[in-house]
Amino acid sequence: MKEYAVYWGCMIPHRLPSIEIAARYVLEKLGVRVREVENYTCCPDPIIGRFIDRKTALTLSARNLALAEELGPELLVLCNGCFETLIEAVEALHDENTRTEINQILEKVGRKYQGAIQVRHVVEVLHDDVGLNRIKEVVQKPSRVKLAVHYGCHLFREPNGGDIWRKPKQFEELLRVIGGNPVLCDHNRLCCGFPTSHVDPEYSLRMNLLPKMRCYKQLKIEAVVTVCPACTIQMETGQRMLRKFGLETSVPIVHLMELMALAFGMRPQELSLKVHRSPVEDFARRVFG
Amino acid sequence: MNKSNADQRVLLYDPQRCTGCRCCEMACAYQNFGSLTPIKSHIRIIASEDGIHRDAVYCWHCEEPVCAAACPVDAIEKDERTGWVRVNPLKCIGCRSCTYACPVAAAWFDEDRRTAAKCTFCDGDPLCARFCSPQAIRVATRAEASAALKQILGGAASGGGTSP
Repeated sequence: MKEYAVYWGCMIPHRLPSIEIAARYVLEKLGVRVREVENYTCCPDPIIGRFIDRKTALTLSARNLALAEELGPELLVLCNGCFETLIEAVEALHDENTRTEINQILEKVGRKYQGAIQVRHVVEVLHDDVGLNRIKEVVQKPSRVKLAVHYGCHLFREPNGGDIWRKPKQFEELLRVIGGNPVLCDHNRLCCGFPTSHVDPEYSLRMNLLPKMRCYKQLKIEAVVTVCPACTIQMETGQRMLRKFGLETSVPIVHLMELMALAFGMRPQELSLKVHRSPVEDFARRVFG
Repeated sequence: MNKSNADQRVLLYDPQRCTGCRCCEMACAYQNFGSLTPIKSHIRIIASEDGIHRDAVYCWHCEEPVCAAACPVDAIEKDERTGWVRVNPLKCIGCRSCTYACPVAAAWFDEDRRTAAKCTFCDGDPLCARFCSPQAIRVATRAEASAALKQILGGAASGGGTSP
């Protein structure tokens, strides 16, 4: 099995470490070897960070990519935001003039980005490199629950005008192979509202999370699966704030890595699921015991 | 449509790809007004109450811009070389004629500056398109955008000089 450099980002180790615990378990079970990118910074934030100062944002990304480049040709990321920022930075740094300009800044900290790294989302690595058959062999406890699939906007990012549905479809297939029952509805594509929540939380809730959770409540969804810690946090805290719009929901929001770890036999109490702000722990104990 | 018009680069929005994240609005507002609030954006994403159906209001940089024709002080001009239709805020008297004249309601009135505002095409690299992860907004030629919009809107997009 191939070896990857792994970039955890900020949200996973600091706000939802249960995802990191789960991911390490899943990758080990599947024989995926990872090498840690050390001393990294924020990717940075794919929305506001990149709007405000393009050059600073690109320099931070290039430094992270340079650190990863020393470990191997492929960089594994487990967050949609990190994926978006880093893959866009790789595209921008293909341009030799831009790369030279950014490398002049990096030189001051003794780094150089060569432009040889490939950024891979965990969904495509599991689907394409590990393969569905291998995953099927490891599953011990198929969940068989009704799941909503929240893709997250940045999962659609495809370089060079490729098929935007490639990774979202792979995500659905991964859920099916671990025994889940993903429900396909139009609201799955709808953004969680995280970007606009920084600017206008009420607007974000009304336009995004409210219609989304209303639909999931109607469909009697048992859990929402994400592949992004920011979407997870937004949907967890947002559900509480939706009470002011008269909608009471308490749907567990679980990351794909956590669901896979549970399906692979990890016990819920080993996962520190208490860090979640939605009833993920109750869900895990009820479904996976 | 003559060749230079057919080749002009314009924006094209595909509702089937849009996730409603409004990053386009935030990027546009920050680029043009230094503010992240979507209210200040030249592109506006509108959605049905159930959140499923979405559409975008954005400038088509028309072949024969009605906003420019309606402006009593010639504050709106179509650049002969690039085809971009822009407002000169120093000339604008804030009469709002362009906001009423625009068939797609792309021109709007900025209450803070007291002048009309509309898409500037970001000098050729529109930020709304660059920051759109699902590529729901992209830059296309007018010929391509026109064909795509006719497919989406049916006959509604076939009107003379204001067609995309």
